[in-house]
Amino acid sequence: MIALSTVLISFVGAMVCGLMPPDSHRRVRWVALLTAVLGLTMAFLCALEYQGTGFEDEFSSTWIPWIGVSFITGYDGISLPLLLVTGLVAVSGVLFTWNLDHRANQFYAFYFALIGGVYGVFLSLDLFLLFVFYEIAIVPKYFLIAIWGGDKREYAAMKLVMYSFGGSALVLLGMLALYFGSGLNTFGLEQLMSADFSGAFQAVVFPILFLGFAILAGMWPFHTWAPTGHAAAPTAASMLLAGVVMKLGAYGCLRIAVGLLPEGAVVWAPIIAIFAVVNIIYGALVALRQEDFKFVIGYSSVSHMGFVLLGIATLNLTGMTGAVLQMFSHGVIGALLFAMVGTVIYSRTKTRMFDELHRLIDRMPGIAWVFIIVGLASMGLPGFSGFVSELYVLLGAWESLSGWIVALAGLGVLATFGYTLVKIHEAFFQRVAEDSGNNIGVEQPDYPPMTLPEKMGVGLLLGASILIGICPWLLTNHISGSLQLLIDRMAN
Amino acid sequence: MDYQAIFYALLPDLIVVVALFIALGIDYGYLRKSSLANRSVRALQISSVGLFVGMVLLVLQMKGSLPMDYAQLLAATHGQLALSPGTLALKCLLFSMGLAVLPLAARHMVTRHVSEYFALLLLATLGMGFMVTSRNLLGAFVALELVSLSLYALTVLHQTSRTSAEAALKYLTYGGVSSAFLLFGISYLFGLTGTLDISKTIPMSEALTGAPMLVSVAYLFILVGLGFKVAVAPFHLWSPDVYQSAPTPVAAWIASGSKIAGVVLLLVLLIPVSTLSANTTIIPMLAVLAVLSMAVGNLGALRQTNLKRLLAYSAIANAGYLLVAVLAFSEEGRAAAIYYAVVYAIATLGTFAVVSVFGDRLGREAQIDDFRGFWKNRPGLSMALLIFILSLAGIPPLAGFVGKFYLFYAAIQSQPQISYWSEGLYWLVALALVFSVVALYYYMKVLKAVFVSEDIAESREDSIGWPSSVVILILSLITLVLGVWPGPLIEYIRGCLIF
Amino acid sequence: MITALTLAPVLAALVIYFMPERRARVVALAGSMVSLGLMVYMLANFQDIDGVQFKEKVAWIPGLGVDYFVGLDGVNALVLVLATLLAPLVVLASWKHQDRPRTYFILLCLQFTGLFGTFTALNFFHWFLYWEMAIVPAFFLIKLFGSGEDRDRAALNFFLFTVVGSIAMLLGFLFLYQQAGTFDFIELGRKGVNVHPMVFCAVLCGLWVKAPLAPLHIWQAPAYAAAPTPVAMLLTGVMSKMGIYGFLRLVVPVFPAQLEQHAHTLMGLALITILWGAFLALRQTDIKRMLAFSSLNHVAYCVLGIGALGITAEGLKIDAHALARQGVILQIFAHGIAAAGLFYLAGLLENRTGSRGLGDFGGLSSVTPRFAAAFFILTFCSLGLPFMAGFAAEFLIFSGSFAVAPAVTVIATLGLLATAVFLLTMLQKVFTGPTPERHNAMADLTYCEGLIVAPLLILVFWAGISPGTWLFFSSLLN
Repeated sequence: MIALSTVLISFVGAMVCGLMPPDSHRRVRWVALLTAVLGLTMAFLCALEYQGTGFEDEFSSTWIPWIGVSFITGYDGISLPLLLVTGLVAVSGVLFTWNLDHRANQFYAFYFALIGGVYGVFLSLDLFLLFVFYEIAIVPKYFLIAIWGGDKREYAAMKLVMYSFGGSALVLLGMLALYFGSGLNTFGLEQLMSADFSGAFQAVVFPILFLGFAILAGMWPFHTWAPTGHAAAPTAASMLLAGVVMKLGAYGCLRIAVGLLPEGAVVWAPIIAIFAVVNIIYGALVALRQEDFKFVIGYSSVSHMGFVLLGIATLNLTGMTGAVLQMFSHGVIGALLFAMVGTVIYSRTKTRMFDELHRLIDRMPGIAWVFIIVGLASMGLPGFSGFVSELYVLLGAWESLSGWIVALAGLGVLATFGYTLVKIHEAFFQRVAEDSGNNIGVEQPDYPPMTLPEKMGVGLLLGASILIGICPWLLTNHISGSLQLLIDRMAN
Repeated sequence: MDYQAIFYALLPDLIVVVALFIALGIDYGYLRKSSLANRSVRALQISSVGLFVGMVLLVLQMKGSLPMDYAQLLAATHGQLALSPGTLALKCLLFSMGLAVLPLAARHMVTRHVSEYFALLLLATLGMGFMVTSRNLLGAFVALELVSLSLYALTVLHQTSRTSAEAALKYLTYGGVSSAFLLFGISYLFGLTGTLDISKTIPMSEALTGAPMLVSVAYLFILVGLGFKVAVAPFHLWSPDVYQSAPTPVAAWIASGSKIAGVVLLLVLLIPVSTLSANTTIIPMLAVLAVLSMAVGNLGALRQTNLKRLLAYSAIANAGYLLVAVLAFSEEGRAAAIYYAVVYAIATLGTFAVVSVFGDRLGREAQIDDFRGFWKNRPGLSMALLIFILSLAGIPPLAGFVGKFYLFYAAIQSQPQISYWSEGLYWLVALALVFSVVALYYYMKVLKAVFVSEDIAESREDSIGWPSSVVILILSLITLVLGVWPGPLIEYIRGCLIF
Repeated sequence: MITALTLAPVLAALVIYFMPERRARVVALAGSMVSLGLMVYMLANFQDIDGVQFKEKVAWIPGLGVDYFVGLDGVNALVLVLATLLAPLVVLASWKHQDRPRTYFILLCLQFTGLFGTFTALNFFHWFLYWEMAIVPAFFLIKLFGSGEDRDRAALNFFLFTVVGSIAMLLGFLFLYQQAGTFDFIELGRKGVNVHPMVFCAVLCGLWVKAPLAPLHIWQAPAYAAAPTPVAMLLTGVMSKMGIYGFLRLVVPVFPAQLEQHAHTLMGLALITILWGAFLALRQTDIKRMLAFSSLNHVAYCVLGIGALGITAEGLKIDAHALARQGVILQIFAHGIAAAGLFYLAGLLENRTGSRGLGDFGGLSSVTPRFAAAFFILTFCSLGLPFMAGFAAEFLIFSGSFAVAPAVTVIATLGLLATAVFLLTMLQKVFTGPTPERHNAMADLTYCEGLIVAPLLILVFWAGISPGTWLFFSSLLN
């Protein structure tokens, strides 16, 4: 029940926030913080309690028995890091939107509805339940972006919802196929895992399910919702989108598509690997060309998700461990990047265009350095979680995929270094050209330093990244333990 | 003839008829000089009490508390009426939905003919009740006509609106033609089998096997006729106009009650052929209708700027989804169709209720833009609208989602193992899923107006009155509960659906 | 012990973050002194055995077989001495640094840790961590505190080149892991994996860039020239040694077969680097750039020695490999000291006169005798005058490589000649001849500055006159 309480807490929090009066944003934010922190605490408790490798803390109850739907939740080593990252991002999201005063009650209502849905997906052990939570997470995204977003927010929100819903339609079809294909008359994940699907069936159904989930994971060429959506979303929402929602897709790919249809995965893995590498390189190269800071981060998310997909495509323990770890890692770092750009920098400069940012390193040194460190973490420098996860993924790729894929992924890493450095330069070190009409020559004032909530948010996320970068075993033990079970089942 | 049994069997309907006449009588006698408001309140009270008592009696019938069991009732009506827990529950549901429509109708009187308004609503409700219980081809036809005629009349009641008359005329013309088709189809069926009693499934089926060609023709006509009634593309042309121009509560009743009744009738009429090889011609017909409805409904709705018209197209689309379940030709399919029809009707009714309490008072046409900034004025109403619309769109955890899921489940279950894409109903489900993605677009457009806009289309107006509030609250709670806890209802439908 | 040594500067960096800006330098100095003190302690307790001492080995990522494994042995002892010794000197050299001192010293401290860690790590995982950690602060030090218009580009080039190498190396090591199932350097050497030539190339590429060797050296001169003086000391004195150290630590034990196969290619490339470096140095008019190319040229001698390790000649009476190896290790030390010193002095010169063109100076030996003396000594060490560190090292290398590859060695000595030519030209142009008017009042070395140069000078002589002391560590290797 500890795990399930994350969902309950979030939904209750959403309701409480929604029912508070509209002009009470000062009180709402404390309620929001409390909700988020409680959720995180529960996620932590889960992590502390977790011992073995299988599903733990299971809660099960009948729901719609005659079509084989039951309410089963629980978590294992694969969902554990994702629960944690959800909690972390939720808390820091509140911290980074601390000064929100426009319709704050509604904002947090949608915010926690989304978070509750996300927790639910990671905890569901029943396909139907998982799907329910998966869809619950869709609608709040629309409102978060459309109401509180920036430029082109309505377009971006609609695009995001259409893509998400399109993906989930595929998932639903695949789910029904699984149900009837297994002949077990159940949507329960654990029973379905023991089902005996024929090879031909797997080869047909796998791409449907995988694609459905991969759309949300930002797989090229279905990634276009991601940069626009991320860029238009308000900070907390883009943190959630990049940090957690994209992970929903990847989690589904791993848990459902690969976990239930291993033979299908074997058939399609090489193709997925190619798509993943395209993701990595394409995302990085497009990021290099962006003029808007948020779009850079948006495409960098696409690129990083490529590593997750690549890890999944390896279908071996090392690679998939890397994929899950990368989900955690990118969840933390991606969210932090969006927070830095969307709130910390934007609220001070009022622009995100590189050609208007003038020598910020002198005018906001503290913030600039924090961003640089986060950028380094995003590059996958050793010492941060990104490195460990990419290491795992590349190792896994060496093991089971062609050397060319690894070499190309390496190229992608290089491109990541390239665009991160170039963009850091453009944002913080570059002087705006004389003719741009910006009052050059006039001594421009320094910007105020980071506020306390901002500092706390940064500390939380960056700390998590460094902690996992230095002590990856904290998570990898659990992850590989549970993945081993999955792989053993695949071997049979 | 066992008159006592017939009395007991028809007691609820009798009460409603009595209420109807009392309402008419009082309005024309006692309240002749009263104000419009007063008359409408009285009429509302009388009709509500009538429907409510009818409902109570129906519940008693269901529980078997009346001194008659089902077998006796069946015998007493000579098979004309199938009074089983299932059909009675449906009838009860229709009565209760009628009860929900009444306060909406009372809020905003569009006509001076107050008592006729309510009487016609009660008549339509009665007709629907007979549609779902009737097991005789002619009886069902008469019930359907009762409903249709009441609705034609109700449509034209919007006397301040010129388009109302035009829409009513359109409705009447199309409806008349469709009735002819239906009657023609029924007569073929009668000719083939020599019986009007559909409850004699087995002899009917046996009789039908002999002439597959004629069966196809008969059902073609029946489908055309009923297709008009429930607004299935390509027989949908009347519906957007009627939905837009009829008084909103009437439109609500057309969209919800008559839809349920129509679907049940369709299911009943299809029972004799459900196991036949004649399926091979009927299934493609139904499939074509389903695909066309989903396509026309969803694509048509994309362009709408008027909420009522949008709901009309959405109704067409939903009729298409319903046909997917009908196509399954299985117990599960029938249960899914009925469940879906019920949750769809509730959500639509709710949406119309919101439109009615918000829009009609302002004399608006219920353009989507009129709802801009709705969240500021009416947070409660806009929450309710959110629930209804999302339920229509099929988003969990709302009833619409479970309905759609169950529908697809039933469709695929009819033939789960396939070796080629066109076998089974996978392809149709896939198509329906695609269209449900499209549908989300226009539903979100409505919600965008309601929640996203900062500017306000209309400043705050007076309170909406407790009966309407209660109706909307109950409807939204049901939508929520049926989504989170659909088990009992589905079980009930599966358990007692004996046609 | 080693962990403490490595992490002391990071702790200092943390402290600096919370301290007032003006205290930054003190803390940084304290941090680096702690490291130095620990180093001295370890030297005092160094056992004369062949093998890893002061071992610390803790399981880190059990799933991947990654251990935290550090230790000292003959290969890294001397280079760690060099690094820990230069660290406080670098801090002292930047004592007067005014521009954002907090940032500056934090970066400097982080870089120290990166360097110390690289030299002590014996497991690829955290070795790579430190390897990258050494690069990043250097990038920012050049970018933020460098001089010249193109420092941004110089920094970026520096970074991208090294990162390309790092990633190639990373991929290579991942493949090695695939084969051997371990990231442990010692273990890898023992197992002797059979690898694809591409993998060898990939690993080589990383070291090649770092050393650097032709033709991947083009980032070097601009970066050295743009970097602030203390950073340039660090870059040339210690960072360039990371590459050579990598050769000794990785290539020699892990890829013996490949080394043997490609030894001649390696030596050939080293030769090219030597000659090309000398040639480029000859053409420079900028002191710092000239020193940069001279550094290129000197580092290449090390590679020459390493190439010699891959060639076995029959019928030798001496152990050519041992000679070469010792020479390489000593050369790392000697060149580190001399080059760092020279860059420091060049920086002083630039500071005082505001220019660093060779043609801008003249006759300084009469104006600033102490300065000139120090400069002369370090230059002579650099060009390998007997009784100085450079001589001992280069002598060993050449004698080792001559035994196995005489032809290449003979040509390489030409490089030595060229080195002499350009270094002496520099001395002549700067310190002799007429003194330009504006330099008449130039200040000599102050005591503080002397304090920085003095240890370097002492070591130059010590290692030159009694190289045995310093060869002790490498002599333990067999």
